[in-house]
Amino acid sequence: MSEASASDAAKLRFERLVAPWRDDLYRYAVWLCRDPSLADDVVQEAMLRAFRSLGSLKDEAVVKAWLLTIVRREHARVYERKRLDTRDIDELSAADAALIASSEDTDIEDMRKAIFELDDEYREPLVLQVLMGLSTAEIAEALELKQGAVLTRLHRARKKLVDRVRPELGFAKD
Amino acid sequence: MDCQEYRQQIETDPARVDEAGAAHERDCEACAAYARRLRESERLIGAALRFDVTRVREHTGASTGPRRRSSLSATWAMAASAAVAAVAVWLVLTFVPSSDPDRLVAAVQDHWYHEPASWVQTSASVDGATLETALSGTASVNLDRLSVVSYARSCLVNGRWVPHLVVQGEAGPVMLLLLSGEHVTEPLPLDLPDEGLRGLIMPLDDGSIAILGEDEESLESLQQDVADAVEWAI
Repeated sequence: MSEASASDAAKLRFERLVAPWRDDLYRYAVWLCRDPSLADDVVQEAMLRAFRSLGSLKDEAVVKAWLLTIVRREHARVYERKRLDTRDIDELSAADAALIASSEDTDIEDMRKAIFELDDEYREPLVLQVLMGLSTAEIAEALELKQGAVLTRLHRARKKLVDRVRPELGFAKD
Repeated sequence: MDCQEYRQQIETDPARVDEAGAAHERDCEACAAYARRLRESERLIGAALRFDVTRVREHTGASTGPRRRSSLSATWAMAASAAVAAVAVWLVLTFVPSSDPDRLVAAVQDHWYHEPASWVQTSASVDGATLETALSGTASVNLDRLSVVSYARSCLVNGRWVPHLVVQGEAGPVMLLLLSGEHVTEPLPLDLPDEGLRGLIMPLDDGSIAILGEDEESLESLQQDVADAVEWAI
Protein backbone atom coordinates (compact mmCIF):
# COMPACT_ATOMS: atom_id res chain seq x y z
CA MET A 1 0.00 0.00 0.00
CA SER A 2 1.42 3.42 -0.95
CA GLU A 3 1.88 6.10 1.70
CA ALA A 4 -0.95 8.17 0.25
CA SER A 5 -3.44 5.32 0.25
CA ALA A 6 -2.33 4.37 3.77
CA SER A 7 -3.11 7.91 4.83
CA ASP A 8 -6.51 7.73 3.11
CA ALA A 9 -7.22 4.50 4.92
CA ALA A 10 -6.30 6.11 8.25
CA LYS A 11 -8.62 9.03 7.57
CA LEU A 12 -11.46 6.72 6.60
CA ARG A 13 -10.92 4.61 9.70
CA PHE A 14 -10.94 7.74 11.84
CA GLU A 15 -14.19 8.92 10.27
CA ARG A 16 -15.80 5.51 10.65
CA LEU A 17 -14.73 4.83 14.21
CA VAL A 18 -14.34 8.19 15.90
CA ALA A 19 -16.53 10.76 14.15
CA PRO A 20 -19.82 9.13 15.23
CA TRP A 21 -18.83 9.64 18.88
CA ARG A 22 -17.93 13.29 18.53
CA ASP A 23 -21.15 14.80 19.91
CA ASP A 24 -21.33 12.40 22.84
CA LEU A 25 -17.65 12.98 23.64
CA TYR A 26 -18.34 16.71 23.64
CA ARG A 27 -21.30 16.18 25.99
CA TYR A 28 -19.13 14.01 28.21
CA ALA A 29 -16.40 16.66 28.27
CA VAL A 30 -18.93 19.37 29.07
CA TRP A 31 -20.28 17.41 32.02
CA LEU A 32 -16.75 16.60 33.08
CA CYS A 33 -15.54 20.20 33.26
CA ARG A 34 -18.87 22.08 33.34
CA ASP A 35 -17.50 24.59 30.87
CA PRO A 36 -18.65 24.29 27.23
CA SER A 37 -15.77 26.42 25.91
CA LEU A 38 -13.14 24.44 27.75
CA ALA A 39 -14.82 21.21 26.67
CA ASP A 40 -14.38 22.30 23.06
CA ASP A 41 -10.62 22.60 23.64
CA VAL A 42 -10.50 19.24 25.39
CA VAL A 43 -12.34 17.45 22.58
CA GLN A 44 -10.28 19.08 19.84
CA GLU A 45 -7.05 17.95 21.51
CA ALA A 46 -8.50 14.53 22.23
CA MET A 47 -9.52 14.11 18.58
CA LEU A 48 -6.03 14.99 17.46
CA ARG A 49 -4.50 12.51 19.89
CA ALA A 50 -7.00 9.87 18.81
CA PHE A 51 -6.07 10.37 15.17
CA ARG A 52 -2.37 10.16 15.88
CA SER A 53 -2.67 6.98 17.91
CA LEU A 54 -5.49 5.29 16.02
CA GLY A 55 -3.00 2.72 14.78
CA SER A 56 -2.56 1.47 18.33
CA LEU A 57 -6.27 0.63 18.62
CA LYS A 58 -6.31 -3.06 17.71
CA ASP A 59 -9.75 -4.00 19.01
CA GLU A 60 -12.35 -1.73 17.45
CA ALA A 61 -15.00 -3.04 19.84
CA VAL A 62 -13.42 -1.01 22.63
CA VAL A 63 -13.27 2.26 20.73
CA LYS A 64 -15.73 4.00 23.04
CA ALA A 65 -13.78 3.19 26.21
CA TRP A 66 -10.56 4.11 24.40
CA LEU A 67 -11.92 7.52 23.39
CA LEU A 68 -13.31 8.18 26.86
CA THR A 69 -9.87 7.50 28.32
CA ILE A 70 -8.30 9.96 25.89
CA VAL A 71 -10.85 12.65 26.77
CA ARG A 72 -10.39 12.07 30.51
CA ARG A 73 -6.61 12.31 30.19
CA GLU A 74 -6.83 15.43 28.06
CA HIS A 75 -9.20 16.98 30.57
CA ALA A 76 -6.77 16.20 33.40
CA ARG A 77 -3.91 17.71 31.38
CA VAL A 78 -5.89 20.89 30.77
CA TYR A 79 -6.67 21.21 34.46
CA GLU A 80 -3.07 20.57 35.39
CA ARG A 81 -1.86 23.23 32.97
CA LYS A 82 -4.46 25.83 33.84
CA ARG A 83 -5.04 25.00 37.49
CA LEU A 84 -8.66 25.91 37.01
CA ASP A 85 -10.96 26.48 39.92
CA THR A 86 -14.16 24.56 40.41
CA ARG A 87 -17.25 26.11 38.91
CA ASP A 88 -20.03 27.83 40.76
CA ILE A 89 -23.50 27.85 39.25
CA ASP A 90 -23.73 31.58 40.01
CA GLU A 91 -20.89 32.23 37.55
CA LEU A 92 -22.70 31.01 34.46
CA SER A 93 -21.47 32.20 31.08
CA ALA A 94 -23.77 32.53 28.08
CA ALA A 95 -22.66 29.07 26.98
CA ASP A 96 -23.38 27.58 30.40
CA ALA A 97 -26.79 29.20 30.44
CA ALA A 98 -27.45 27.91 26.93
CA LEU A 99 -26.45 24.45 28.09
CA ILE A 100 -28.87 24.50 31.00
CA ALA A 101 -31.71 26.17 29.14
CA SER A 102 -31.40 24.31 25.83
CA SER A 103 -34.79 22.74 26.27
CA GLU A 104 -38.41 23.84 26.21
CA ASP A 105 -39.12 21.55 29.13
CA THR A 106 -38.66 23.14 32.57
CA ASP A 107 -38.33 19.72 34.21
CA ILE A 108 -35.34 18.99 31.97
CA GLU A 109 -33.92 22.42 32.74
CA ASP A 110 -34.27 21.80 36.48
CA MET A 111 -32.63 18.41 36.13
CA ARG A 112 -29.77 19.92 34.12
CA LYS A 113 -29.15 22.48 36.84
CA ALA A 114 -29.15 19.72 39.45
CA ILE A 115 -26.64 17.66 37.43
CA PHE A 116 -24.50 20.76 36.94
CA GLU A 117 -24.29 21.15 40.71
CA LEU A 118 -23.52 17.53 41.52
CA ASP A 119 -20.06 16.89 42.90
CA ASP A 120 -17.62 15.47 40.35
CA GLU A 121 -17.45 12.12 42.12
CA TYR A 122 -21.18 11.60 41.58
CA ARG A 123 -21.63 13.33 38.25
CA GLU A 124 -18.99 11.46 36.27
CA PRO A 125 -20.13 7.88 36.92
CA LEU A 126 -23.71 8.93 36.24
CA VAL A 127 -22.72 10.49 32.90
CA LEU A 128 -20.71 7.43 31.96
CA GLN A 129 -23.65 5.17 32.73
CA VAL A 130 -26.58 7.14 31.32
CA LEU A 131 -24.98 9.08 28.48
CA MET A 132 -22.22 6.71 27.39
CA GLY A 133 -23.95 3.45 28.27
CA LEU A 134 -21.10 1.93 30.29
CA SER A 135 -21.78 -0.92 32.71
CA THR A 136 -20.81 -0.50 36.36
CA ALA A 137 -17.82 -2.80 35.76
CA GLU A 138 -16.66 -0.62 32.86
CA ILE A 139 -17.14 2.53 34.93
CA ALA A 140 -15.13 0.98 37.74
CA GLU A 141 -12.31 0.24 35.33
CA ALA A 142 -12.42 3.70 33.74
CA LEU A 143 -12.43 5.53 37.07
CA GLU A 144 -10.09 3.07 38.78
CA LEU A 145 -12.62 2.37 41.52
CA LYS A 146 -14.04 -0.77 43.04
CA GLN A 147 -17.39 -1.76 41.62
CA GLY A 148 -19.01 -1.34 45.03
CA ALA A 149 -17.83 2.26 45.17
CA VAL A 150 -19.32 2.90 41.73
CA LEU A 151 -22.66 1.43 42.80
CA THR A 152 -22.69 3.64 45.89
CA ARG A 153 -21.88 6.75 43.88
CA LEU A 154 -24.52 6.00 41.27
CA HIS A 155 -27.10 5.45 43.97
CA ARG A 156 -26.19 8.67 45.75
CA ALA A 157 -26.11 10.65 42.50
CA ARG A 158 -29.66 9.60 41.65
CA LYS A 159 -30.84 10.23 45.18
CA LYS A 160 -29.47 13.78 45.10
CA LEU A 161 -31.09 14.48 41.74
CA VAL A 162 -34.44 12.93 42.54
CA ASP A 163 -34.58 14.53 46.00
CA ARG A 164 -34.08 17.89 44.39
CA VAL A 165 -36.13 17.63 41.21
CA ARG A 166 -38.71 14.96 42.09
CA PRO A 167 -38.86 14.93 45.91
CA GLU A 168 -42.34 13.36 45.80
CA LEU A 169 -40.75 10.15 44.56
CA GLY A 170 -39.34 9.40 48.01
CA PHE A 171 -35.99 7.92 47.04
CA ALA A 172 -34.77 5.34 49.55
CA LYS A 173 -32.09 6.32 52.07
CA ASP A 174 -28.51 5.04 51.74
CA MET B 1 -35.48 -10.70 46.80
CA ASP B 2 -37.27 -8.37 49.21
CA CYS B 3 -38.46 -4.81 48.57
CA GLN B 4 -35.35 -3.20 50.05
CA GLU B 5 -32.98 -5.28 47.91
CA TYR B 6 -35.06 -4.65 44.82
CA ARG B 7 -35.11 -0.88 45.36
CA GLN B 8 -31.39 -0.79 46.03
CA GLN B 9 -30.85 -2.51 42.69
CA ILE B 10 -33.17 -0.36 40.63
CA GLU B 11 -31.94 2.88 42.17
CA THR B 12 -28.42 2.05 41.04
CA ASP B 13 -29.44 1.41 37.45
CA PRO B 14 -33.13 1.65 36.57
CA ALA B 15 -32.41 0.44 33.04
CA ARG B 16 -31.03 -2.94 34.10
CA VAL B 17 -32.89 -5.28 36.40
CA ASP B 18 -31.82 -8.89 36.81
CA GLU B 19 -34.16 -11.88 36.73
CA ALA B 20 -34.81 -11.86 40.47
CA GLY B 21 -35.53 -8.14 40.34
CA ALA B 22 -37.92 -8.57 37.41
CA ALA B 23 -39.73 -11.33 39.28
CA HIS B 24 -40.08 -9.14 42.36
CA GLU B 25 -41.40 -6.28 40.24
CA ARG B 26 -44.09 -8.56 38.80
CA ASP B 27 -45.18 -9.71 42.23
CA CYS B 28 -45.05 -6.43 44.16
CA GLU B 29 -47.41 -3.68 43.01
CA ALA B 30 -45.83 -1.05 45.28
CA CYS B 31 -42.34 -1.70 43.91
CA ALA B 32 -43.68 -1.81 40.33
CA ALA B 33 -45.26 1.64 40.81
CA TYR B 34 -42.05 2.91 42.37
CA ALA B 35 -40.07 1.58 39.41
CA ARG B 36 -42.36 3.34 36.93
CA ARG B 37 -41.85 6.69 38.69
CA LEU B 38 -38.12 6.11 38.95
CA ARG B 39 -37.84 5.28 35.25
CA GLU B 40 -39.71 8.44 34.44
CA SER B 41 -37.12 10.46 36.37
CA GLU B 42 -34.42 8.43 34.61
CA ARG B 43 -35.75 9.58 31.26
CA LEU B 44 -35.49 13.11 32.59
CA ILE B 45 -31.85 12.57 33.58
CA GLY B 46 -31.09 11.17 30.12
CA ALA B 47 -32.77 14.08 28.36
CA ALA B 48 -30.92 16.55 30.57
CA LEU B 49 -27.55 14.97 29.79
CA ARG B 50 -28.19 14.81 26.03
CA PHE B 51 -28.26 18.54 25.44
CA ASP B 52 -28.32 20.05 21.96
CA VAL B 53 -24.64 20.23 21.02
CA THR B 54 -25.14 22.66 18.14
CA ARG B 55 -27.04 25.14 20.29
CA VAL B 56 -24.51 25.08 23.11
CA ARG B 57 -21.57 25.42 20.70
CA GLU B 58 -23.17 28.51 19.18
CA HIS B 59 -22.79 30.19 22.55
CA THR B 60 -19.34 29.02 23.49
CA GLY B 61 -17.43 31.62 21.51
CA ALA B 62 -15.07 28.67 21.21
CA SER B 63 -14.24 29.63 17.68
CA THR B 64 -13.29 33.17 18.50
CA GLY B 65 -9.90 32.64 20.04
CA PRO B 66 -8.87 33.14 23.65
CA ARG B 67 -11.35 31.64 26.08
CA ARG B 68 -13.05 32.98 29.18
CA ARG B 69 -11.63 31.53 32.37
CA SER B 70 -14.07 31.61 35.21
CA SER B 71 -11.42 31.77 37.89
CA LEU B 72 -10.14 35.16 36.77
CA SER B 73 -11.77 38.31 37.98
CA ALA B 74 -12.82 40.74 35.28
CA THR B 75 -9.96 43.10 36.11
CA TRP B 76 -7.32 40.42 36.01
CA ALA B 77 -8.83 39.01 32.84
CA MET B 78 -8.64 42.40 31.12
CA ALA B 79 -5.09 43.01 32.33
CA ALA B 80 -4.04 39.52 31.28
CA SER B 81 -5.71 39.93 27.88
CA ALA B 82 -3.96 43.24 27.30
CA ALA B 83 -0.60 41.74 28.25
CA VAL B 84 -1.15 38.70 26.07
CA ALA B 85 -2.25 40.88 23.18
CA ALA B 86 0.84 43.07 23.56
CA VAL B 87 3.14 40.06 23.62
CA ALA B 88 1.31 38.53 20.65
CA VAL B 89 1.66 41.73 18.63
CA TRP B 90 5.35 41.93 19.52
CA LEU B 91 5.87 38.31 18.56
CA VAL B 92 4.03 38.78 15.29
CA LEU B 93 5.95 41.92 14.42
CA THR B 94 9.27 40.43 15.47
CA PHE B 95 9.11 36.86 14.29
CA VAL B 96 6.25 36.51 11.87
CA PRO B 97 6.67 38.84 8.94
CA SER B 98 3.72 38.25 6.66
CA SER B 99 6.00 38.60 3.67
CA ASP B 100 7.84 35.36 4.43
CA PRO B 101 6.15 32.97 2.00
CA ASP B 102 7.91 29.83 3.23
CA ARG B 103 6.79 30.47 6.79
CA LEU B 104 3.23 31.13 5.64
CA VAL B 105 3.11 27.95 3.56
CA ALA B 106 4.48 25.90 6.46
CA ALA B 107 1.96 27.43 8.89
CA VAL B 108 -0.96 26.72 6.56
CA GLN B 109 0.13 23.14 5.92
CA ASP B 110 0.74 22.53 9.62
CA HIS B 111 -2.69 23.84 10.42
CA TRP B 112 -4.32 21.16 8.31
CA TYR B 113 -3.21 18.58 10.91
CA HIS B 114 -4.69 20.50 13.84
CA GLU B 115 -8.36 19.88 13.20
CA PRO B 116 -9.09 16.32 12.12
CA ALA B 117 -12.72 16.79 13.06
CA SER B 118 -13.10 19.05 10.06
CA TRP B 119 -12.13 16.39 7.49
CA VAL B 120 -15.46 14.68 7.35
CA GLN B 121 -17.33 14.30 4.09
CA THR B 122 -20.86 15.49 4.73
CA SER B 123 -23.80 17.26 3.17
CA ALA B 124 -24.57 19.17 6.40
CA SER B 125 -23.79 22.89 6.47
CA VAL B 126 -22.86 24.88 9.54
CA ASP B 127 -25.51 27.35 10.57
CA GLY B 128 -25.28 31.06 9.88
CA ALA B 129 -24.38 32.00 13.45
CA THR B 130 -21.42 29.61 13.50
CA LEU B 131 -20.18 30.97 10.19
CA GLU B 132 -20.53 34.57 11.36
CA THR B 133 -18.65 33.80 14.56
CA ALA B 134 -15.82 32.23 12.57
CA LEU B 135 -15.66 35.15 10.16
CA SER B 136 -15.72 37.58 13.12
CA GLY B 137 -15.89 40.63 10.89
CA THR B 138 -12.90 39.64 8.74
CA ALA B 139 -14.85 38.99 5.58
CA SER B 140 -18.25 38.17 4.21
CA VAL B 141 -18.90 34.99 2.25
CA ASN B 142 -21.51 34.66 -0.45
CA LEU B 143 -22.80 31.16 0.15
CA ASP B 144 -24.48 31.04 -3.26
CA ARG B 145 -21.01 30.83 -4.77
CA LEU B 146 -19.79 27.93 -2.63
CA SER B 147 -20.88 24.38 -2.06
CA VAL B 148 -21.68 23.16 1.45
CA VAL B 149 -19.67 24.92 4.18
CA SER B 150 -19.35 22.08 6.65
CA TYR B 151 -16.98 23.59 9.19
CA ALA B 152 -16.19 27.10 10.42
CA ARG B 153 -13.87 28.23 13.20
CA SER B 154 -11.52 31.08 13.91
CA CYS B 155 -7.99 29.71 14.19
CA LEU B 156 -4.52 30.99 14.99
CA VAL B 157 -2.40 30.61 11.85
CA ASN B 158 0.97 32.28 11.40
CA GLY B 159 0.33 34.53 14.39
CA ARG B 160 -3.10 35.76 13.27
CA TRP B 161 -6.66 34.72 14.04
CA VAL B 162 -8.18 33.79 10.70
CA PRO B 163 -11.43 32.16 9.56
CA HIS B 164 -10.94 28.46 8.84
CA LEU B 165 -13.72 27.07 6.66
CA VAL B 166 -14.20 23.67 5.10
CA VAL B 167 -16.29 23.36 1.94
CA GLN B 168 -17.31 20.12 0.35
CA GLY B 169 -15.56 19.80 -2.99
CA GLU B 170 -16.17 17.22 -5.67
CA ALA B 171 -13.35 15.01 -4.37
CA GLY B 172 -13.82 15.60 -0.64
CA PRO B 173 -13.49 18.27 2.03
CA VAL B 174 -11.47 21.36 1.10
CA MET B 175 -9.83 23.61 3.68
CA LEU B 176 -10.08 27.36 3.16
CA LEU B 177 -8.15 29.82 5.31
CA LEU B 178 -9.14 33.45 4.80
CA LEU B 179 -5.80 35.20 5.37
CA SER B 180 -6.91 38.79 5.37
CA GLY B 181 -3.62 40.18 6.71
CA GLU B 182 -1.26 38.05 4.62
CA HIS B 183 -0.08 39.68 1.40
CA VAL B 184 1.40 37.42 -1.23
CA THR B 185 2.53 38.66 -4.60
CA GLU B 186 1.92 35.43 -6.49
CA PRO B 187 0.20 32.09 -5.90
CA LEU B 188 2.15 29.88 -3.47
CA PRO B 189 1.76 26.13 -3.97
CA LEU B 190 0.71 23.90 -1.07
CA ASP B 191 1.63 20.25 -1.15
CA LEU B 192 1.09 17.45 1.35
CA PRO B 193 1.89 14.39 -0.77
CA ASP B 194 1.73 11.98 2.19
CA GLU B 195 -1.87 13.01 2.73
CA GLY B 196 -2.77 13.15 -0.95
CA LEU B 197 -3.49 16.88 -0.69
CA ARG B 198 -2.49 19.88 -2.73
CA GLY B 199 -3.55 23.46 -3.14
CA LEU B 200 -2.30 27.00 -3.11
CA ILE B 201 -2.31 30.32 -1.34
CA MET B 202 -3.74 32.76 -3.82
CA PRO B 203 -3.60 36.54 -3.57
CA LEU B 204 -6.96 38.22 -3.23
CA ASP B 205 -7.06 42.00 -3.07
CA ASP B 206 -5.24 43.04 0.13
CA GLY B 207 -5.08 39.54 1.55
CA SER B 208 -4.83 35.95 0.43
CA ILE B 209 -6.75 32.69 0.66
CA ALA B 210 -5.33 29.24 1.25
CA ILE B 211 -7.11 26.38 -0.50
CA LEU B 212 -6.14 22.81 0.30
CA GLY B 213 -8.00 19.77 -0.99
CA GLU B 214 -7.62 16.31 -2.39
CA ASP B 215 -5.25 15.74 -5.32
CA GLU B 216 -8.21 15.04 -7.58
CA GLU B 217 -9.99 18.27 -6.69
CA SER B 218 -10.41 20.78 -9.53
CA LEU B 219 -8.56 23.68 -7.96
CA GLU B 220 -8.96 26.03 -10.89
CA SER B 221 -12.73 26.24 -10.74
CA LEU B 222 -12.63 26.27 -6.94
CA GLN B 223 -10.25 29.25 -6.95
CA GLN B 224 -12.66 31.22 -9.05
CA ASP B 225 -15.65 30.28 -6.89
CA VAL B 226 -13.80 31.25 -3.72
CA ALA B 227 -12.56 34.52 -5.20
CA ASP B 228 -16.13 35.36 -6.20
CA ALA B 229 -17.56 34.35 -2.84
CA VAL B 230 -15.20 36.15 -0.43
CA GLU B 231 -15.25 39.86 0.18
CA TRP B 232 -12.93 41.37 2.78
CA ALA B 233 -14.46 43.60 5.41
CA ILE B 234 -13.23 47.20 5.23
